[in-house]
Amino acid sequence: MSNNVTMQHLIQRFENRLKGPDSHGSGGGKEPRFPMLVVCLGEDAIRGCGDIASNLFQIWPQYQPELQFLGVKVDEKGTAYYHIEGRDGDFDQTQISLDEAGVILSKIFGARSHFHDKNKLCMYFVLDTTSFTIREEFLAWIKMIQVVKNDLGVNDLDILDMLVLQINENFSRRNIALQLRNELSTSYNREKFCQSVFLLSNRRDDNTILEEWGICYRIIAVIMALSNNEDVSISEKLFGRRIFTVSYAHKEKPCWDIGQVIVENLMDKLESLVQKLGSGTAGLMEDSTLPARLGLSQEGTMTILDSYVDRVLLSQLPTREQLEHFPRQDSEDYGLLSELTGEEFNELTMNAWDSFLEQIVKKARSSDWSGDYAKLLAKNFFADELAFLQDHLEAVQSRLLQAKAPPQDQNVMSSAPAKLKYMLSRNPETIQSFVDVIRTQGEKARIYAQERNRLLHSRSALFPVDDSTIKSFYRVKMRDYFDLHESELEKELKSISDIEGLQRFLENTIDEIISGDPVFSQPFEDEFESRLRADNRPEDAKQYIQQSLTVNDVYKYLQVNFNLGQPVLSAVLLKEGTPLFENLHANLSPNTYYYNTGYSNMAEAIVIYNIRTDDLINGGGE
Amino acid sequence: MQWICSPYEPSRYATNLRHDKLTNMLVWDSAPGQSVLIVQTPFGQSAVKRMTAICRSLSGMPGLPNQYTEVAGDSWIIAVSAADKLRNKGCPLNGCASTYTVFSYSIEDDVCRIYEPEERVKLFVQASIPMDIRIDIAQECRRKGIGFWGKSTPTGFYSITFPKELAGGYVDGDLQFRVGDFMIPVTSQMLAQRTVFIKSERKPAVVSQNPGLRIAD
Repeated sequence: MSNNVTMQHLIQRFENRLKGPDSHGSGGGKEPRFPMLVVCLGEDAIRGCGDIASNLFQIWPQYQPELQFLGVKVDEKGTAYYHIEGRDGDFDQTQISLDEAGVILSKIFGARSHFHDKNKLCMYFVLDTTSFTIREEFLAWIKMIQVVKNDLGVNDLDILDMLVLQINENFSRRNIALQLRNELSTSYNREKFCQSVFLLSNRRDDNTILEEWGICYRIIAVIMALSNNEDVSISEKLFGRRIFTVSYAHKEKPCWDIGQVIVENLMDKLESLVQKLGSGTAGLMEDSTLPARLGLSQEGTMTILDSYVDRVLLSQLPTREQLEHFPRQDSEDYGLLSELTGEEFNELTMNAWDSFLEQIVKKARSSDWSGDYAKLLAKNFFADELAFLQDHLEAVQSRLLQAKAPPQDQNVMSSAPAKLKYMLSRNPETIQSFVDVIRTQGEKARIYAQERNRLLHSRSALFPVDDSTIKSFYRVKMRDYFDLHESELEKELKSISDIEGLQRFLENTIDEIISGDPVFSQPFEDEFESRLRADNRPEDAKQYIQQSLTVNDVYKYLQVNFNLGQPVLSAVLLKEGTPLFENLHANLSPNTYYYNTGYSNMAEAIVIYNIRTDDLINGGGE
Repeated sequence: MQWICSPYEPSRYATNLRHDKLTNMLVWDSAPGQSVLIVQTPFGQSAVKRMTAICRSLSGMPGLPNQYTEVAGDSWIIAVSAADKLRNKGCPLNGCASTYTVFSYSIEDDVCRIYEPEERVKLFVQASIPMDIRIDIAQECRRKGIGFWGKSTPTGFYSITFPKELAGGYVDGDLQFRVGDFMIPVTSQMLAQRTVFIKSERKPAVVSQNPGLRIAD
């Protein structure tokens, strides 16, 4: 099984843990009022559906099973509908019939659904123009909106519908984007295909061109949350038969950057432990403990085989009385044969004693010792040492074949166990099976070492964390963690023999780090405050965040050369009741609308502007 | 010398191995001038299946032996040239209670190729030769007293006498002494000794573990 775990994967896992619905302070936020359906029109929109869904699940975690997403594709065969489902960033699309789409729709109106008011249906159509080459494609999709409503049979419902139009304004697409802006204006004037249209561009007002739609998917989710709201005044504004655009800013706990610092420090520690454990490898063959670690006894026999002799074979030895029945060269009186030495007895019985013992041992040779020996090696050797043994297999084999013959001058009965052990351990074929295990385990260890190194080197694909407060604050956290846990980490690392085990170890360690320090469950403004204090920075975290949300990090997601005028709505989305909430409430305009997300990892500010259709034509780009 | 197991070569056939009871020799059919290897294995065990192991154990040997030589623990081999076959009218046995198999071989440039028999006739390249033996078991007695009034009393020993012809090619443990439920292997040293003694109140028995070695009552 191949394993492609990278540092990015570990950091992502960390971020997911911190941002997950079961992280601190989630839940208890506002809920959607009406049943809602998100319909993604075309391949490009469908591709972004998972991100929109993930963002909505973050705002409304308890509605995850109830929020439904459909995709629509059109080709020469006709219209095809898809049900888009998933979680934790992993989404699939399954083609469905209209009947099945009806079942989905019925479910959101079902008695068991938790939407508060089933008198209306909110339909959100998402259209991404990235692949459009002619304006007619836009017109065709606009017409599809009604076709979809007809197909789904929702025309007799009281619908609040919205089109979110993602307009791609890369340099190569400026011409078509211009046409689409004009076409939007013309079409919307001619026929109100939706009650409102939200226009988002990937070209911000500061001329930055977004390479991906990521932040826009968040904005779309925020628009959906604000519009499907028990506060009627807000819903009415956003379904207000207009074209809108937005400015948006957000401040959140920098989970990825924190995760990167944590994981990088963990990897540094891993690397130093690996070097420490491997430092003695070069001198392994001369190590005085090597024979014992290879499972050899003082007499040079394999302890696994010795144990088998003790447990199973000793019971097959003859009694003193039975020894008397061994054939002899003559009928002289030799006294009790059990009092002879092994050598004397064997000579008297014409090699019958050795032959008898050989018979006992012969049956045992067919047993399979590989499982037990592999466990012994895993317990006694670090992976790099196993690879080293594999490189020196001949020398190791020679060590394994050094069983010492037991003294011949001991009593025949008392020397029998040692003799059995010697006979079992000196057999070259039996020892070969142990050598084969070392070879196999060594090969596995080599592969593990290569994969471990690949993991360590995957950090080269990461960009450095810019924020020095994050780096210094969490470096100290990790130092404290290692002071307490280094010896446990070393012990566990030593026992790991494959990349899957290493991945589990790292993931468990990350989980332990998160659950072991309350800073990871602090609201993001408190976490920020902690970092500023640790860095002796004088800024007040809440003021800093407010400035960021309202001035410094605010961007409009549509470039226009006309004045957008007064906003239709200014809203802040965050967890209510927190000190940050109190601070913003005290300092921002009293007209600001506050939406309680119940999520303390982020605060967002969105301002919604109306765009007149005439302005779109006249001021449509440059 | 390098030893290689090679596939069947029709021009070098050797087959129809059998025991000529009149001459007590092994005889076979082979291609004109063809040299062969006779392999002796425990009764019932196929040398064809063991050829790879036998080739491996031959590595290190400078040439093929022209007398029976032990290899791979419990097998013996002997090389017989076409001239030897003609002169001796076959190949002598190395004891009974064994299976003998014939293989053709060739040597060229220090490489000895031992040819597998043809698949269809694998049964005809081997001859299993059982041995019927008679073993004498007698209670040892001592005469006490003089002349007519003397009495023969058991010494507590039994003597066991093995036939002379059993010595060649014997594997320790093929025969076992049984005293009550207790089994003790018969060794080749005992066969060389011919007569051995067992201390027992009950008469011991000798049983065969080798289906090729049959003990007559």
